[in-house]
Amino acid sequence: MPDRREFIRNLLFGGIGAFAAICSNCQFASSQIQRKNSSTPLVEIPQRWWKPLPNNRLQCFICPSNCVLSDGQVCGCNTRLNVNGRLMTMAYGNPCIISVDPIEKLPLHHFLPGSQTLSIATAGCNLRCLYCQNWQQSQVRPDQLRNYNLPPAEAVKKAKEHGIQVIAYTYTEPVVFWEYAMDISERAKSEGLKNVVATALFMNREPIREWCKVTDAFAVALKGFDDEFYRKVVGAPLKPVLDAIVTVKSEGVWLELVTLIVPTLNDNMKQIREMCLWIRRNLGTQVPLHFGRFVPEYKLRNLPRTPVQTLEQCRDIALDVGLQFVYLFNVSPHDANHTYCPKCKTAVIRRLGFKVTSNDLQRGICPKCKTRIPGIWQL
Amino acid sequence: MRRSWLFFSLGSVSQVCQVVLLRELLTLAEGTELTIAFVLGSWLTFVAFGSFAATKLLTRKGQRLDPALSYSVASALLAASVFFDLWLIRFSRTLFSLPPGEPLSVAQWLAVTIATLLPICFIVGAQFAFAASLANPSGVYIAESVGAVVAGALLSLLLLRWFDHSSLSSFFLALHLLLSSVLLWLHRPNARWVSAAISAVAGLSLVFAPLVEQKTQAVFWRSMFPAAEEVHSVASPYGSIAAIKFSDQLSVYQNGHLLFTLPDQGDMASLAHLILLQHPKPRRVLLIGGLGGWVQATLQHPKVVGVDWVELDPTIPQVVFSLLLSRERNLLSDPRLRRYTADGRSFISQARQTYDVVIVVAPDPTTAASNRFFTKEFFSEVLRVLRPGGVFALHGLREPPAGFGELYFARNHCVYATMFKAFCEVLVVPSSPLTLLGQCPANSSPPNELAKLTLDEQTLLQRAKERGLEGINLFAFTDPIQVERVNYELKTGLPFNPLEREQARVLRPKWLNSDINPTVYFLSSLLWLRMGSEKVARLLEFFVFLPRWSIWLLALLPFGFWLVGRIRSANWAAPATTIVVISGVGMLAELTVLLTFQARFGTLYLQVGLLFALFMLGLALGALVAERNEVSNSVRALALLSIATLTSTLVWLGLVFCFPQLPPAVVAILCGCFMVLFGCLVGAAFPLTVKAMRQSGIDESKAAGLTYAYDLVGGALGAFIFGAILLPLWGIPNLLFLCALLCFAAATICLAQAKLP
Repeated sequence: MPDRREFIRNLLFGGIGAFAAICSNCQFASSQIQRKNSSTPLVEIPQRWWKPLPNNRLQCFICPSNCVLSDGQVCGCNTRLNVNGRLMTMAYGNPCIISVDPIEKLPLHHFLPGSQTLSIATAGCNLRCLYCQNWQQSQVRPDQLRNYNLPPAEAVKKAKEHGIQVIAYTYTEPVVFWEYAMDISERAKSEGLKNVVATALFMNREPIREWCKVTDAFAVALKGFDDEFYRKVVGAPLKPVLDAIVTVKSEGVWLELVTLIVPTLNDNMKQIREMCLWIRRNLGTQVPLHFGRFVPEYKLRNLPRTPVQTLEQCRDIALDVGLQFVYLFNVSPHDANHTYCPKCKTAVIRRLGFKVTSNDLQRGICPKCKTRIPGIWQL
Repeated sequence: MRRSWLFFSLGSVSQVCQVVLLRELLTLAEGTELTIAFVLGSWLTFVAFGSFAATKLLTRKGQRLDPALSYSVASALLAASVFFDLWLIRFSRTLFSLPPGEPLSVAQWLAVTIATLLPICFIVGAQFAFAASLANPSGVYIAESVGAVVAGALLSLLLLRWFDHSSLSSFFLALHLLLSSVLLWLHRPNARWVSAAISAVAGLSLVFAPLVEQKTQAVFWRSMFPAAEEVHSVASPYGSIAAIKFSDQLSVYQNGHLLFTLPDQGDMASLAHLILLQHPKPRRVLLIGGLGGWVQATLQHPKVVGVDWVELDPTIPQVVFSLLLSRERNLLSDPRLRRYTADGRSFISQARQTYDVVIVVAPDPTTAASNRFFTKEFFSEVLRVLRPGGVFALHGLREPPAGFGELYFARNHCVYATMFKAFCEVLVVPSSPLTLLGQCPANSSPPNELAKLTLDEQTLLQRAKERGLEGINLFAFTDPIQVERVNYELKTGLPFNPLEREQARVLRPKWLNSDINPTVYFLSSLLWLRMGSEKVARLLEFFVFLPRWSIWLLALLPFGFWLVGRIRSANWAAPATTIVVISGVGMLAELTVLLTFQARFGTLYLQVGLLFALFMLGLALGALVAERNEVSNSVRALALLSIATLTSTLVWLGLVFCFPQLPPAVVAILCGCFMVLFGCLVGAAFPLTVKAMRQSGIDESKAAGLTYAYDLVGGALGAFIFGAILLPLWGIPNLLFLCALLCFAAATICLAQAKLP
């Protein structure tokens, strides 16, 4: 006689079959990761940047998260982990992206305009921006992607082979592969190449100072000027980023800022004004500021692009506050892509997207009124 | 039996709830056939649980439930659940504290789907069991099917375009509540106050529906885009359309998902220029889709004398035109522009006009509907309307992110190879998503150097200058490194990066993407899943690497199911196995008819709705015929039914191959006939299985409950495992042949059972 128990039993048989199939799949999936793991390098990080704790635990001091890790645990950045009480990195010599890009893409508009960069990135990020444009690489561990094998010496060699003068650490978050970036930078510097970094700069002061010694320019993403926005949408507090930006400026390294304006989340004009005032107060009026246009991506794919009108309002505010070099990013063609002399308002460098169409600067000097435009214009 | 008609409303309300909730749930996650299959599969499974649980409650020893009272109270609970579900779905973004613009994650969507479907389906299933104990089960089954047919046809043809979801649900719920109160009145004269209360609930649901709709919609849009200055929502047969004004922009959403934003600031407009610059003298242009910036850019080319612009949903241009800024509106009212409301593919297949440039802006082929723009049959149709030297552009193929696996390479290579089979020259533009350019039929000689496809920036800018077009930014699409990379990757199916190539697990499908073997659609579904949940995607990837012969092992499943039953000494194992097989095969056959019809006639939702109604009609007819005819041995009759299903499946398989040669009217008639036929076969299985179970010694209401449950389990398996996973991977021919084998197995089991003592 059929009854409920029998019905459930029959379902159970089916369930066991399905479970067996799923288990076989799981084995298949984990073996893939295992295989990838075996090729993922682990490089020890000097003890200067972490502190051992009892019970094989340790604390990492590279970024303000200051992660405390048990044995085998991975940091929030997805790249550093505790192996037997020692801090190791999985992001060394194994970039997932190597490409040649215009320097304007970082964006750096006052640093060797028109030059090409050898861009390098590994997987991982210590932030969780909901609108990340490179989330497929930034929100995973290095062992979850297929990577290149590119030791620091090879990176420098590759750049020189292609006649590239600048190496850029970009796409994901260079803070998470800082050890690798440092080693490449040191070699590159010794061989006469330049190093530039595009970063959100959620990093502690000491490692930044180290980094500044070998880096020629920073393009820092200041993603907003509201701590709540930073915590909810970016996944970190704002203050450490502001401190880090001031540190870079005080170290004398060339600095440009970029702020992506996300509709409804960080497009409050009052906050934009506050941000511009902070920049003027702490960094001066000559730091270039780029307002970027948001395009629907990653988790915020149902939010429309930023209206150009909004970006223009932001730019007007920044100029009104007194900042001298304010650009629009991801909007092309637009007059705010060009570099203007702050004195005579002549367009000294014209751009179409990431391409420099004309550069009239003569050794960094406006050809019309002879005003010196701040930046690094020659190797 | 005479009172069976009262259960007509159960089928209607069930059908309406299914459609409304499916459309609502798709606003929370991007819909592909996998999500739709999950919703339908869950629906059938939960209804089966409800039916089984109610059967148990009705037949337990001791105090038994009063079926009439239970049915009526369940109707009131159903009404409450539907309104609660509408609120829950629209409030879910707030519930999960999602920031504006973020859709639900896969886990969150699954949780909401289960939370909304479980109570409703459970009640619907239980109501069937209650009804089956009040009237003849087969009569109830027939009445329910007829109710579903009527509601399905009304929804598709009339109601969805005029009424919002709350009003639609409340109308059918009120009808259901009134009929329930009549039933209670007839069965329990002493419970008339309950019946009056239920009627009052019916009235209340009608009165409050518009308010519920207005309030819950406001909640949804406030959580989605709080800064919106104006929200215009319009009902459309293809889903709800919302146009949102924000600053100087107009963003259009379909079912809660962003379609495009106007004005387009360069991106797509530049790409449209690049495509038109491929042709030396583009005069006539056909544009399928592409409202955001494409039309305006095309009209800027001075030599263009006519642009035929085809858009599927008439509501979208209407909304856009009514809200656009005057500058944009003037551009779109250019006399050279002719607008058509049609499915792009069927427009091309029926077009008599020929064109210099054909541009198709299609979504990524993650659904069977969008996959139709990436098949070899479609490319042949495009070549027919392309003038000599004409250029075809297909925009919409997502690019593989760095280090993200071989599935993307396999999928994109499959599209490239399919296109290369049709065109003599194919060039990939590194846009986002990718654009594939094609020129000249594959068997013709390539065009001369001047008319050849090119992505050389200087050449294109020179052409633009000659046409008086200034300030076009083509660099993003003509960067030599990117051009070389994307062309290499699509041509070979391998990563451009040599280190990655060495390690790549090569996955190159040897077959091309076609209407009956939609490989690209399956691989795209996997990729879509991977965006949401890598673990789930990896589970499904298992099927990609299964050897081809393993599909035939599935034909042994019915034997396993039957053997388990026999070991448990269950005499009803054979009929239960047969109804699972026939329901599963019926569901799959229904899907193949829909896919075949869609491939030929386009995403015509109205016709697809009618096809569903035809299936339900067949279901009712089959059940009626099987119920009316007395059979001495029901198990033997089930064996004959399995053989009939086998034969029908094989005949349908033969016809699928003949369809490209048959006139459209014949194809449409045959699709309709086979919908009814497959419905009849599935419908006839229900009364025969109930009779076979009763002959094995089970009482009627329990037999009806169990049969309904197994029927739905078979349907769920057919929809999800066969329809959503195996069909796109192994194609229609293999799956139909597998169905024939499954029917053969079911027939063998029934015949063996009939011979056993």
